[in-house]
Amino acid sequence: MRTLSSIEDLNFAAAMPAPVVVQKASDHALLEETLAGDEDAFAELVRRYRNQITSYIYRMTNDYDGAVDLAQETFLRVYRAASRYQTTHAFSTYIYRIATNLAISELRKRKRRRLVSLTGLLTSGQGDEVRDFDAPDQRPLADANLVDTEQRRVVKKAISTLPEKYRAPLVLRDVEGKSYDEIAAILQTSEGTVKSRINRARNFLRDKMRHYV
Amino acid sequence: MSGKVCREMRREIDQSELRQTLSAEAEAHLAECAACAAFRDERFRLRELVGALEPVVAPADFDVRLRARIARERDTHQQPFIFRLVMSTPAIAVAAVLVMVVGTIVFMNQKNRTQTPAIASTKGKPASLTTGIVSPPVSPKSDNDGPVQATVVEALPLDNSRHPNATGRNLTKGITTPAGLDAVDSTVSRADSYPMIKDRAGEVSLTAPVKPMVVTMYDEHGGSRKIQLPPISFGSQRLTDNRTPVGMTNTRDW
Repeated sequence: MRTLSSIEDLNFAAAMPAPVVVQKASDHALLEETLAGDEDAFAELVRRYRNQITSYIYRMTNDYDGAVDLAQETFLRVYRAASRYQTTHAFSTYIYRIATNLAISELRKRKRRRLVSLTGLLTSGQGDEVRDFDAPDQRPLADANLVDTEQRRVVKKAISTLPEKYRAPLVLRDVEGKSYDEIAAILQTSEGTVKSRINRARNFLRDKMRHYV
Repeated sequence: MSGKVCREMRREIDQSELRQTLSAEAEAHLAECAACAAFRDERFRLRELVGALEPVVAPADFDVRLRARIARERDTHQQPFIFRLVMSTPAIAVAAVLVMVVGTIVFMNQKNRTQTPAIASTKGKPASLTTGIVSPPVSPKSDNDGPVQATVVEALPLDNSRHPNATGRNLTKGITTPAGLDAVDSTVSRADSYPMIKDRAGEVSLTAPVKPMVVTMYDEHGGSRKIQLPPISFGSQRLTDNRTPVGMTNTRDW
């Protein structure tokens, strides 16, 4: 009988299968597989982007259910137009562009319908002018969590009062963390315009949240 | 501090990544310019606040709902083109408009028929009338004491579908009509006949019309008088709903 001199003598490596190196398929490859009829490839694409897109649209519209619906519509459009997709831009740029267009379209629809909402209460008849309904409560708050919650509420509200042309670049830059050139590609405008709009959006926010900044 | 330099520095601050180290030139400027340093702190604080928003996640059933939507979409595309065309919103709208137009036309037509009674007039005209059956002219009575000289009675039913004979009942049965005096309509089959029966002086007898009838009488001076008669029932006669009260109109006072 053979005696073991070390743990290596057990030869686990030979008994166990070699680790499979899973290469993450690119978005383009997944879309091509989707075109070929692979439903799982599309499911993978959805898994990769569903949270980002839902979150982005939610920041734009400030309505969770509506954001989920529009996020689904975004994926539906990607699926429908998969054959027309051109690889000149990153897939993320492409899907964010669709999401942006849907979100802006929804904002315009709301404006037309003059939906009464908190957002509506905060905007004046001009649309661009913003009234300040968020004067901070001067009383001391109980704990830091409450302060954070209150701050987040004010920030959300302030973002939702931004005009749509400033809102999209600001959310893409400061919430989604996109680069200027990516934002320019998503919004189909120049980088200079993006920078200028982000600067104006921040000035709007600063005016809105003067007490918190 | 020059405004132009401050503007340049602020632009750099604004476009830099959060917590990114600025250029040496910018840092040197910030060390000297309190306003720009305050701007940097304000911008950083603002970006931190916006960036601190908690991310939102898609609901758990996101994929399932999306798959259902895609399946629905696919089913819709599998339907034949003609079906999709017919079921499309514009097609339904066009169909609705067509139904409304046709309905309006039918309603107006029906209304006109209801309001237009058969016309009977007494006039000294020859029997070559276009519609209806012309009864023989009635010669003036020998005693000229009556002011009315009823010469011709014409029945002008405008609605063939409401023809009394359409019911298959011979309304003229048993009524004496002078033979050979019925004119035949060139376009339609035999129309209502309200034969005038010679009677006493100044008196005209007609078969009871099923629908309202207007009797026009002319005097020798050209004056006329219209009398609207409602359908008259003798018990076995079918009456229509469009009964109208007796009315009279004068074109001239007698």
